Amino acid sequence: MIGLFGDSYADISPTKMTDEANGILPWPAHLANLTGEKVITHGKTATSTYWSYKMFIKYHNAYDKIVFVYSEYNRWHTLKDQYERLAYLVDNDRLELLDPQFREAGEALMKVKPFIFDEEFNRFIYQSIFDKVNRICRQKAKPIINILPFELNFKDTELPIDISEAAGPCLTSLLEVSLTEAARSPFLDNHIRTMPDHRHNHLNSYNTKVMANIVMDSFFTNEKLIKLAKDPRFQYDDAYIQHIIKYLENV
Amino acid sequence: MIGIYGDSFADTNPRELHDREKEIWPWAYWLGESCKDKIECHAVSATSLWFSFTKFLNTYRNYDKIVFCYTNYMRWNTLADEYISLSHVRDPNDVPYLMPNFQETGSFLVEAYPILYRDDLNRFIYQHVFNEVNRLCKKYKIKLVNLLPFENSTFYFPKGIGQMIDFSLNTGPCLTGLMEVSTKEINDSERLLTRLKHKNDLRHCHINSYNNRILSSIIFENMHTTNIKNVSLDSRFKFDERFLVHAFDNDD
Repeated sequence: MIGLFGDSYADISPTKMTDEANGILPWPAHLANLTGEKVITHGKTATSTYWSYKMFIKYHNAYDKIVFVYSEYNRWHTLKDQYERLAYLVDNDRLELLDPQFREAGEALMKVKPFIFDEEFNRFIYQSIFDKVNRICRQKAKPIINILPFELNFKDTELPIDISEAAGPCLTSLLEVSLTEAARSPFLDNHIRTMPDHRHNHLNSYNTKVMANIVMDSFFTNEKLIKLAKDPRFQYDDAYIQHIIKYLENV
Repeated sequence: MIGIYGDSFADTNPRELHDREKEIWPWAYWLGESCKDKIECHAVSATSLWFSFTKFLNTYRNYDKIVFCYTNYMRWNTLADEYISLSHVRDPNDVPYLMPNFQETGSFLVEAYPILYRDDLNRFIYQHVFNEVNRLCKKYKIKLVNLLPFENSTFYFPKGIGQMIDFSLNTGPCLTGLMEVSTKEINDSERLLTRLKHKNDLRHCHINSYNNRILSSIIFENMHTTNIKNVSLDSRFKFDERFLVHAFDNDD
């Protein structure tokens, strides 16, 4: 059984987009179909890496294999559980998109941020979690795949953390795949600027399958670092977001 | 050379009260004398664990011996330098006591505290700072003393016994329980207790002048070991008011 931890790149929502008959599924569902193994996801959209780490500590023993997706490391790690959905709130622009019941808390975060934001501190937490998760998997002989969507995108050449403790491959630059899909599609570009992203895992329906294949293969690779955006199998055609276009036309 | 990091339990202030002849000296200076070595103190009162750790990361290679004092892990870790004196602020009642120019920031912290403070995360950071300090000192063959005043104290544990973190990656001794020595001095001196209700603690490192010397001896004796020792059980500490006179006769 495979345990999956992380943020929206590991979440199976939005479930209303799922169309099993037509193969429109989040990548964890494709992974289950490909491997014949059960894939249980503890991924939750907009959460921090520390939130995923807590889920990992709580549930990892139940799984033979682990996939851990690391969120953008400057999200709020410190939020109390009931406010975790604000973890992505790192600038004032996003304040207006909040549900009214979270607006007051969001404003309090924005007021205090200039006094307590510390990138080095956030990076230390990121590094500590990466090391701990990989050390646990090594000690317990659980194969692990690390997915770092926010690293090595476009012209980035340096990782913000040291991956020498990795017990399995590190898959980077998934954000670049997501953003390239939008860059090649005016519809999608407009869509993600104005409303929550309706793609599963921020990928089109073709690329979720590609992602599942890459993850499956990665359990058997000796490569330490894999730059996903360089994989020629990813496709950027509007044909693979037709389900979203149709859905939004009907809403 | 000895590098010292931490909060008020390691800070050598107030410097104006130093009097070597009268043996009113913080433990760091006694330690320097015992080791026949220079000390450099990076410890600052009221700061956080992260503050001490970043000072350590910037300077630890300068020293062959280090004493790292781990402060109360529950403080605000990441305050910008000009606001470090606010690391303890979490309650609305704290705000009126702040300097006027800090009150607005203090109120922002109080407002955000119920949303932002996670004890488990702060403890996670405490553990990883401890591990990293010990790992780096081991890697560069630096003699390290871990001073953990709040461990094995009633500040963390109702019965005064227990550890918040795992010490198993220690590369030097772990000296706990100093908070208990400090508290016993207060409990044994009505005059000190009364003073602290309204005024700052002028004891060096929150312990009397005699006990500063005893603490330096304990640190010196354990420097080359990996002992885990509760210093509050050491019978050499004394709780006589005559060792507190300097803390009464001066005002802040």
